[in-house]
Amino acid sequence: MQGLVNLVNDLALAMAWLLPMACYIAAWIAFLTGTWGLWQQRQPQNPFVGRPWVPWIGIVLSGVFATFDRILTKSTTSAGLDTQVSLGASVTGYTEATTGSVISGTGPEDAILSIVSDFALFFEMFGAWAAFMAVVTWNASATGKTNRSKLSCLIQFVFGVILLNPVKEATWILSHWTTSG
Amino acid sequence: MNLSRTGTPSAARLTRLVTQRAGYRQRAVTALGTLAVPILISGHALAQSATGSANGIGAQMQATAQEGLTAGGFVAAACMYVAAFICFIGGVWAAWQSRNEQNRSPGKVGMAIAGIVLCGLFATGPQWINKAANTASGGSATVGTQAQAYQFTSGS
Repeated sequence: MQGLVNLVNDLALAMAWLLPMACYIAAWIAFLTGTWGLWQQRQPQNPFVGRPWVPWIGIVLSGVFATFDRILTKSTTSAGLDTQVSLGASVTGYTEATTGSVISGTGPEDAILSIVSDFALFFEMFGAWAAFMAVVTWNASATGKTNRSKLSCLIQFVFGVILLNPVKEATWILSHWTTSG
Repeated sequence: MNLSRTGTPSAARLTRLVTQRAGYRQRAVTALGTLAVPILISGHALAQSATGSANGIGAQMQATAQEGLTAGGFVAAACMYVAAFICFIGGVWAAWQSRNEQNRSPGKVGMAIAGIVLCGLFATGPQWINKAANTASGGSATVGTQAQAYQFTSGS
């Protein structure tokens, strides 16, 4: 089991390093395509006839990608999760479970919280990637490159944000099955 | 007629019948119980002391991300350089065409202005991405050409 936790958290660290790189590339691609879209609007083959706002979406989204960690922090604040998302230039491990031992805890609630805590970084990185892909897909939907609805992108973003504080949510859910009663 | 098999079955026979019928389930329970024994004995086996490996996949991705950022930065600069060049040439050509008696049209004037303005926009792309970042999030851009990793500080 410890090997599984180590492996999953190592994968989460890999995702943590790759996401800022993906954000950087997505930022300049969004800016380039957005600005190029503005130029295309003065061309006979303008692909955004009747939708002059589409290139501007790309330019604004370039800023969203460039500060995606801050956007996630704002989103978690809106969701009441109180998770601060930031970027660091050093390898960081993950916080091991502090809610109690799986075996010696006061009940199954402690065991579940310990397991969720051990896998928390993976949940958080998966959520961040899901939110990132939701924004990318939303931009592709706006420019007509995919048929996905914008509502489905919004729902994916919301579910990604929900994953950013799994321990708090597990605590919320487990509070419905309190052992004190 | 032999009636010996129609009587009430013995307890041992009943147990055997049930075992044969639910064989897989019983074997699965036995296997799970056997697997659970080491966990119960070791107590803290569930990653209580797990730490990230400095030589694992996660650390390796730092180098990969740095390579991607360096390459991505150069490609972005090249693309914006070319786009600025195209917009400038296109804008100046449209301006020239707009004053040409054979091809004069109001649209060419707008194209000329757009081309020259967009040339400046492409030439200073990073600054405009930073402005877009301020518009979108209220702060400067956080990603750059140095590899960084996401970190989460969660309130509980």
